Amino acid sequence: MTRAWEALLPAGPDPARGASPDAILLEGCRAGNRVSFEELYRVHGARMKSVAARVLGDRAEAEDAVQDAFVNIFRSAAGFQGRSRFSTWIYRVVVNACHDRLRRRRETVPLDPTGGENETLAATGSGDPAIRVALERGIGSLPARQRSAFVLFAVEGFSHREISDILGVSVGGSKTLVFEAKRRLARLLEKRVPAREEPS
Amino acid sequence: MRSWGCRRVDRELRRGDTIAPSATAHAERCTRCAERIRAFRQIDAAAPALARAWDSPDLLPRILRAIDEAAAAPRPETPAPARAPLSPWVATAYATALVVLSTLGLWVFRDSPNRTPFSGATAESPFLNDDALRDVERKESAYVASIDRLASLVRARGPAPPSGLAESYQEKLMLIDSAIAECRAQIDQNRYNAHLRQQLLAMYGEKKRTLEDLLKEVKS
Repeated sequence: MTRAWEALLPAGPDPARGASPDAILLEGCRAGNRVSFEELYRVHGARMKSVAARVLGDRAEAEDAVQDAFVNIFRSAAGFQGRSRFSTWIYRVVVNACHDRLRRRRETVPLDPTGGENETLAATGSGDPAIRVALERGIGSLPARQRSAFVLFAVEGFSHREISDILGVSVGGSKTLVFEAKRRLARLLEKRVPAREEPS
Repeated sequence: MRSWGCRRVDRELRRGDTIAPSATAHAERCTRCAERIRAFRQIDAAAPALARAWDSPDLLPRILRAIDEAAAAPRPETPAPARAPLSPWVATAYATALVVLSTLGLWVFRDSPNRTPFSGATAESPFLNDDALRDVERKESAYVASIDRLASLVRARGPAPPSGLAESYQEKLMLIDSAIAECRAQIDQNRYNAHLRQQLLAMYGEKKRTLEDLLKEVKS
């Protein structure tokens, strides 16, 4: 099956035929090609929204942040220097858009002790619902960078190497942010979820 | 009081890999560490279910419209370079000044009476002997205790005000603690290495300065 990004390539011999989907998407975005942005959205949009929703705690604002990120990708793709993978860099742009929004929110709205977690993100899915609900609320109370590192690592499955590129920290720094986030969440779990035996 | 075993468990959890048998063995005897490992495992198990997915049929058209608008908007002019490139003469003068200052600095440092921070380690042998090691560990414990007192003073002041600066200090402290933990792990492997001790001392110095800054921020 031909994927949309392959249709961007001209027919005939072309070195780009051997290029990675990342490189092809980057070239299309640099050229401002609409099909490339559609493909970028198709491949990464859902995960970008999920990251933004968890960092911001609000679906509508997450969609706005993803829109901001796409415009920033369009503006900055030409200057992308390839120090990280394009597919990692776009999450850096998303996370930065979220952090900008959190900063603006903090300047205009007093901090909500629950972290502003919105009811529209209520927990669903498998696992212990009490723990999931406590985590839902706990994530909202973490400092922005710990929250982002935790969401990227524990929820979205990025590696520490990728998170170090996304957040601009060392791999050790990423591990520390995730560890500190978990330590805070563990304390919150102790308060909110009564201790129970782990299933053997 | 947190023991060596508790710190080991922390280190393993920070590393995020599987927990070493020695740390697991410690957790079997230490309720607090067992609780912590259990909570971390619960979080690891529950977190992936927090990924969100929902349909947003309007979002892609909105994004494409926003990109079209950004493309149509006049691009901001490229800012002029912050400074003109240096002429070769000025660059040479800077380089010469740098060499002279570095030489002068080394000369002063060489003749400084406090050049060696730890007795027992010399330039020829960067390793400590037993007496020196005991001396270093005693002084180090006193220094760490004084920094811990400072940290408890910060905690006693209550949570820092929700400012970006306080948050930055907190994150910096976390990173320093992480670096201290790594350095301590290396020292555990090589207790006689004076270079590692000096690095650890520098980290504690940085931690002390950061705590003082945070304390000022909390007070203000």
